[in-house]
Order: sequence, then structure tokens, then C-alpha cells
Amino acid sequence: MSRNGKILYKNLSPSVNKDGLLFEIDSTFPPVGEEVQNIIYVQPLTLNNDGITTDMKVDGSTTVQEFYIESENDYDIIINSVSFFIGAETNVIDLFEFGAINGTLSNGCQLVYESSKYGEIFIGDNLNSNFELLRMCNMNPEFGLTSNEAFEIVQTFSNNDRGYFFILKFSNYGYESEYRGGLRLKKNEKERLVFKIRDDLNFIVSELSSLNGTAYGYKTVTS
Amino acid sequence: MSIRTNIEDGSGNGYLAKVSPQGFLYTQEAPYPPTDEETKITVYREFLTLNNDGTTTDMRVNGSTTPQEFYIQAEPNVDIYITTVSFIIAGPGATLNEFANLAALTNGCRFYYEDNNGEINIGANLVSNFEFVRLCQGNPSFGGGASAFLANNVVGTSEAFIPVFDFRNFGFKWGLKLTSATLNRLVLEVNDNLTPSANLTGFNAIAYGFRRVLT
Repeated sequence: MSRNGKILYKNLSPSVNKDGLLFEIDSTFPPVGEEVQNIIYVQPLTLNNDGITTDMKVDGSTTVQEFYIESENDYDIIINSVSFFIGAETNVIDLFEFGAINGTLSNGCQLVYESSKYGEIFIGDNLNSNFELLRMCNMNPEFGLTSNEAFEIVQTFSNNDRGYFFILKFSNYGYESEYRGGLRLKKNEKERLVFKIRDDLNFIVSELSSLNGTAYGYKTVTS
Repeated sequence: MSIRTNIEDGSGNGYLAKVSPQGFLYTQEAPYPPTDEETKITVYREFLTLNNDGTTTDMRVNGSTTPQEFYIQAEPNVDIYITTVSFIIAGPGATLNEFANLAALTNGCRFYYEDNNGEINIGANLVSNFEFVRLCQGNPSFGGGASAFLANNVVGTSEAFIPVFDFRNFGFKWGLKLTSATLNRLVLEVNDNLTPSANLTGFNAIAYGFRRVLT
């Protein structure tokens, strides 16, 4: 058996309408005395997480080469987005190419979330062209004045390069876009976000001059 | 043992708050903000200035020997929340691989904040226009090809890259907090010789957000 009760603040009580909906209102300012603190997190994906090797132009055809970030001991890491740049020193670059390699890769790259609890979750598989990278990133960011130069940027790292700059936003995958959102790398657990190279990417610079990725998000500190 | 209680409408018509079969309490959000909040927030807009002097906004300085710090800092009686930082890097004919229209920098700028956790790097080795654009996650995105992210005639007739760093993209719902009565600060550190030249016609940053007046 239950009783009826009212939530009271002084002599005020919230309304409930005939549909059974309790009226609520959000504050327009942050809470005072937060117990959880965020620390910004910006890390490139590096070879075997060495913290140094950001250049993904490596030979992964025999042994898969892994560029990744992983969970830390003290903090949960929440990844909101990952940016990629791919480019070549060329006058023409197209979305069907990988960099400016005329023809797609045999195996393609993969972006994988690995967790001891959930195993391997493929975010991107068979990423064998610029377009497949773009598609994984939900066509973000969108720009380009004409269809010929859609998503394309030039002179990014050298005077002669052309390339694409893509940003994967986990909010596009349904993660909460405000402060809790993002892919979580849980502390003390072997969780990783890995970009895997499964082809030989040692191409000349006119075919592939740059390929790298950077993860963005925050760490949570509980006092 | 707990007491089972229904939540009843406050005006006395007997309506009870519903819970869905999946266990969610049904609520309905007000279409307007609260009318009687005691906490006030006010707009915050400040340039990052040299040593927080409040005057020197031009970041075209020589930081090659001694790093030069442009920053904003916490205030005594209000919490500051920084939601965005707007940068201008201007030089005629600037391209992404340059810094303004200079060759990519040797050391690069460092963008960081300092709080009770120490110095937290947001971006280090920001040697080129692209590194700023990338740090700001391509925000705002416009143009295309040679004009991607590049705006015309921003400083006189100089083109400029105008990236905006948004803390909300990094999971900070209300922005970066500079807690009142602390030494928390947000810093852009110049580590190269960026003295004004025809190739570097503008470089500055403005922080936007709000102050929460503590009652």
C-alpha cells in the first residue's frame, strides 16, 4: 500500500498534470560545489602508444601496425572526437583515392575500440579510401565551395600538398553531446582506441605524404 | 522498510506523477528559465593580454628568448566559465602550413590552463595555421581548397585564419571554470619571434563565457 505525498519547498509544491507529468525546470547556471572535475585531454594516436610516432605511413602489410591511446590508471578518459588528416603532395586528390594513391588499399585501415569487457568494437573497417574515412566521420566538417573541392584542403603541411581533414564526433553516434558524452576509456582497464594499418603505406609523397590522428576529450577527477 | 509514497500534484487536484513500465519518472521541462534564480550570470568577454595587464592584446611579440604569456585569470568574487576562445592569425596570402604568412614556427605556441591539477596543455607546438585550425576542430568550417578556413580582408587587406576553440566540444558543458579567488588562468604562450611584419599583420585571442556572481 502506498500513500500520497507532496514534494515541498517552504509552502511550494511542484505540479503534476493529468498525464502524470511532474513539472521540472533546469537551472541556467552550473552547480556550485561540483565534486567531479574535468581535465582536458588532447592526444595524438601514436605507434604502440609510444607518445612520439604520429606518422601512420608505415608498413602494416605483414604485421598490423597499431596507433592508439589507452586507458590510464587514475582517470576515466572520455573521448568526444578524433580528427584525421590525410594528404599527398599532388595537384589532384580525389575522394575515391587513399591520399592520392590511384586505387584503393587491399585491406584498408580500421578504427577499433577495444575493451576487455566488450571485445573489439569496429568503428571503421575496410577504410580504403578518403571517402570511407570521411563517411566514418559522418561527413564532418562540411565545407567546400564546389563539388571539386568538397572537404578538400591544400598546403596543410607543405607548399605542395592537398588533403582531407576529417573529424569523427562520437555525438554523431548517439553519445550524449553535453558533458557526459563520449567514448569512455575506463581507468584501470585495458581499453584502447586503435587505428590499425593493414597495408604497406610507405608510398612516395606524391601518393601519400601525411596520415595521422588526434583524440580530443577530457579526464574526470573525483575529489 | 521504506514508505511507499506517490508524488501528488501540489495544487490539490489529485494528479499523481507517473512512472513508465521501464522505471522512468515522467517529467515535463518548463519552456522558460526559472524566474526566481538567486544566482546571476553575466557575460564575460576578455582579450588574453600580456601578463594579464588588461591592455596588451597584440600577441605579435618576441618570445624566442623568454616565453611571453598572454592570459586571463580567475577573479576574486566570481567564478568564470570560458566557453570559447576566438583566435585571429592574419597575414596576406597565408596558407595552412604557415603561421600567418610566415614559415611554420620553430617552437610553436602553447595553449594551456592552470588550476589545482597544475598546467594542463590544450595544445603545444602550435607551429602553423593548420595546428590552430585542427586544435579548434575545424570550427568554423567554410571555404574550400585553397580558401578552406581562410577569410578575406580581416586585418586590412590581409587574409586570416579565424579558428574558434569551444570547450563544450571537449565535454565541458559550461566551459572551463576559473574558480574564484584562485590563481586559475588560461594562457597562450608565445615561444618564437613574432614581432609585427608584413607577413604577420594580426594575432590575438578573445575569451568568451560568463561570470557566475556568488551570492
